[in-house]
Amino acid sequence: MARTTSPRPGTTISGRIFTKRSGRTYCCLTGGTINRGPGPTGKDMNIKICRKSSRRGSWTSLALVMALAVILFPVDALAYLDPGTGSFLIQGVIAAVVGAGFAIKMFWHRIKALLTGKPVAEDDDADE
Amino acid sequence: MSDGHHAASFRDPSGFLFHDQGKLYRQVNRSYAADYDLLRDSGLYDLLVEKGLLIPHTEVSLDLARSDEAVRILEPEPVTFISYPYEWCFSQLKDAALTTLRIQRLALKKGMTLKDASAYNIQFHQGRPVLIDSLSFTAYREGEPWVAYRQFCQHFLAPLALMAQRDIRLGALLRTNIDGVPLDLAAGLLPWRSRLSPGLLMHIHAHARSQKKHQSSGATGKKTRVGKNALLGILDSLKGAVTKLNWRPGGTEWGEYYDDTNYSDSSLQTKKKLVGDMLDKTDSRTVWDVGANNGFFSQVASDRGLFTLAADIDPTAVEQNWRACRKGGRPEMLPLVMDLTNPSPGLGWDHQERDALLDRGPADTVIALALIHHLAISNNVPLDRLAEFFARAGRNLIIEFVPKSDSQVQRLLATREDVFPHYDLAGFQQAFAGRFEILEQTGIEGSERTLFLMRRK
Repeated sequence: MARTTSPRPGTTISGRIFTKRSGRTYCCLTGGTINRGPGPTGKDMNIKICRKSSRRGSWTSLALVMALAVILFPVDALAYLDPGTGSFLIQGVIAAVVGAGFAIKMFWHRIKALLTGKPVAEDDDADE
Repeated sequence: MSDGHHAASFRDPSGFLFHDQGKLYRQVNRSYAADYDLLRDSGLYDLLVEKGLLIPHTEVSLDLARSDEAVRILEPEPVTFISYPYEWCFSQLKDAALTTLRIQRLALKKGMTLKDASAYNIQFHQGRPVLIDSLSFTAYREGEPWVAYRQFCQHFLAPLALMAQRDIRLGALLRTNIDGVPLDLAAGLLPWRSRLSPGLLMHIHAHARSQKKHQSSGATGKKTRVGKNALLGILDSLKGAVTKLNWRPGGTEWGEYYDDTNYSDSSLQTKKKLVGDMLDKTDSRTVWDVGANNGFFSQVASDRGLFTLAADIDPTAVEQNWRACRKGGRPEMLPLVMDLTNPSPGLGWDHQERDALLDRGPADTVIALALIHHLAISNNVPLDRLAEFFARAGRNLIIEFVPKSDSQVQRLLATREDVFPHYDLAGFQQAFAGRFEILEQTGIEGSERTLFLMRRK
């Protein structure tokens, strides 16, 4: 008989990112289960896929949905400042939220540069 | 400090500042050698200096090295007066924030990144915000989030948002929080409508929640990856959030504010000429105009090419002065918000990281116009103590005595008992004669006030 369990927070399965809130693990997209194959006990492990990610406000849900765009891999940060765990992690979320908009903005600048024949400015604050 | 080691320069192991025979130098340590070479070889140093964003330096002999760790000794171009973020008006802090973001964008384009975003690393030099720490850069590694993101939000975005959306006086929180305004504090103090701004929602409110959530979670966050374009997106978002923050005193337009003055145009010009004539009799290079209001009389000094600190308690007046300086190109003028009854103290580690106001002097000349009654009557400071303060602040003093018969003093006394029997011209002269030689005194046309030129004994 298959055992239903939760993935570790941060696990990516089938392109979905899992997070943990209030002791429960959530995924941001669809409902249903994913069969993860045999677990340590030899039984099949099913992953719960939850529809709702948070009861604490829609902005968190939005941010987590956008966080799908972030690929996670280890990066060392050598610095004399403590960047702060929360400050590091939120950058991943914000990057996902603003990244697409910024990419479109830059694309538009390039289109405009092509149309006007003026190169894209290296220093976009030059006129400030 | 021993070996002239600068008291505020100890956090970053990349190097430190030190004094030697009256000059300021920066030692670059071996641990920073590769980054220093990259700063130079990438062209970032030349680019930033060319744009007036980084203080230029020259490399000098290693003989000045203070330890075996030294690989370079730099002599930065001197900054006349070091000011602190809690002394800046709203637009000065905003300009410093935008300068920091601009530097970070240019650094990324040259393969480097700012490893700190301290507001204290920005100084107003020749009328412009400029980065003074040339060891703030490190090699950028693809995927790395911005290490200084938290510091930028605490040093710039949070105080700016509080000043713009809650109360301009909350800029003083930078004085009590040496590493910027804690984001949970800012989030709690900001009005609910601040959440409607996507920038403030993300960089302050969500950021504060993320900090709280992970403060004891045991996670390190080191696995977070932010691609370069995404990082540029974050910087663009921060820039948008900062740019959108504006402050208008009392909801008025700037042009309407301060149009109402107590003086006629001709008497103002007469007084301006008197001050200028007295200033010309001093041998001054630095002038502190205390109680400078919007800098009208400070221009007497700055127009003569003298470095002029124009300090006033009113953030509105300082804001107006800074906007005029920026617009009109007055590189010699530095407007600052300063309450002389409670001037900036020595702050930070060992009381020495941030200097007290008087420790940054003395000025060659102090100008104090229409000020003494505020200090002596509103703040009850005895005249001899005022003389002591001004003697510590400057070598020369141009000061206006405002008698009790003046309408401005009458206004101050209208709501309180007159407990100032010695506040008159003779009492003033006697008190100041203890610390100063009175070189000249002249009545100001159209008023009962007297202008004095004094030299410290």
